[in-house]
Amino acid sequence: MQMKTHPFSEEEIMAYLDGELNVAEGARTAGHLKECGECRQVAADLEQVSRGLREWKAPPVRKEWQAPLVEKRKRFRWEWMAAAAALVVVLVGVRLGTKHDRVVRSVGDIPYQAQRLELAQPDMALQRQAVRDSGVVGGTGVLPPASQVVVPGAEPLIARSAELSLTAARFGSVRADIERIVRARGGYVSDLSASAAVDQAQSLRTTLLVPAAQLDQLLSDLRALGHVDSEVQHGEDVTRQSVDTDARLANLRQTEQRLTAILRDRTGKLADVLAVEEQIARIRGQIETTEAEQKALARRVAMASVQVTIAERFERKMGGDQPGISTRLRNAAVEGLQAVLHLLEGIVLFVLAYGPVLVLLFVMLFWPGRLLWKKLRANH
Amino acid sequence: MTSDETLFLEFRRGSEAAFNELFARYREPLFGFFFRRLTDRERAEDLAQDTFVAVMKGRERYEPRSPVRSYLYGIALKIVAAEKRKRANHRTTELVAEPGVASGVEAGLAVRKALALLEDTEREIVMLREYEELSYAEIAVLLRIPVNTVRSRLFRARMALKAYLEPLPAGDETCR
Repeated sequence: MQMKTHPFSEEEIMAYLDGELNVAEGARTAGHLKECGECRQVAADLEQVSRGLREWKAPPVRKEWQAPLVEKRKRFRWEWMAAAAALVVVLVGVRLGTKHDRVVRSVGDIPYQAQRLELAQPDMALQRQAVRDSGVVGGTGVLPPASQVVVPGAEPLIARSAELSLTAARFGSVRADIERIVRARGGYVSDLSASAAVDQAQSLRTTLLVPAAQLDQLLSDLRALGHVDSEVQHGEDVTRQSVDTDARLANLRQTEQRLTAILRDRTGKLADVLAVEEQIARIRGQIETTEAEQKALARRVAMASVQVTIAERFERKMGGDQPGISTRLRNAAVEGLQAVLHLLEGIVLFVLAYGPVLVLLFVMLFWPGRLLWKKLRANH
Repeated sequence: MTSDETLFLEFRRGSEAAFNELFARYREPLFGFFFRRLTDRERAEDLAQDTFVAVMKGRERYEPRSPVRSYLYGIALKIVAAEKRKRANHRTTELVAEPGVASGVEAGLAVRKALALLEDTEREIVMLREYEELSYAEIAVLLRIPVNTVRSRLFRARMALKAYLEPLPAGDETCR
């Protein structure tokens, strides 16, 4: 029997049969199988096992099997109806509160959900309108047009950000260029810092905020400013956070309305009235905090942040600003003297800090050490 | 054809038609899943229904990034594990097993016996691959083991099954 080496393991042949290899690996394995009888036998064995296993077929499902499930699903529909009723109550409450006169539609109606979301997230609705007005619709933008309003579970809300590091040849005009680019893309400079140490490359760090739909264009414009040293893009899915905040806000508003109604319709002791007012004030505080969270979340989705670091392509100059030899000699002498003083200072500090402990250790170990030393010498 | 994932998202938004479609697609496979693991038709039907009920109740927990079938079989695996624990605790004698469809009675019994000789995880890997047709990656996620482990154990299990099942006809060029 001739020993033969194979380019593929038996496991890889199995993975090929299971469709688990990529196209290139699959093609190579298929080619090898045509040529190698041994590997073909392995494949045949594996296929035989699979065929054998699949002969065990489950019996068909009985037709009446659906009946109890339908029974269970009736309960499920009631749950849906209860949820729908609760939503309608919340919606009516919210609309009465905001004095909007809109028609309540059925649950499952997407435009209804869109209105609900826009009601709950006015900032996001405004941003969406701004993007529509600017003519950027759909595409890769995070803010979808009104027909594709973000519905929990359908379109994810992504907070995008990017970090870009560049080396610019013409550093002098970079700041003006960045401001021009970011303005053109409808954004603004959030913060900016520049450093220019003597005899070192200048650098500039800035954080830009632009509408998320404009992020790709902005990055493309920024890349043209110099050589890209590194680029990182992030996308954080905040859909769940948004839905949670939305629900929390609706609940809080409902609670506030209930408490307000209690305060208005019922009379009681002064202590009770004060307690209700205290509750209302607490709920109001929570509503305001949640609204702020919601706006911040909407802003994160609507506006992408880009952190840009631009360094100058540094070319050291000959001569020029170099000080004269006498100045440098004097500076070196001063630095040398300072180093000696620092060393002496360090030694004094060390002795003061650890001297007592070292003396104590020496006293403790001197006699045992001496005894040990004498014994060792005597043995030798 | 609408993808399972799209249907699930529609179902989550309240579409009964989407649920019906998912139910129609997975009714037989889920029944088969339980039937092969418990070999008790009545119980397999009950547990398959329980799986759909669990899907309804926990529909918000579904992550749209993962395939629906993995999600369903993940639930089914938990249900079947609970059922097996319950059986072990109550020391119920196993019911007279139904081997499967009439045409494959003997084959069904032979396959069941062969599968019973495998170690638990290897048996589960083989069954998820052969009957539920899950990918290695999906099996790895469901059983919480690395993909390479799935591959190596699947290979080992199949080789063992080759010996347990009917001997295969000898090939003409074998020398491996």
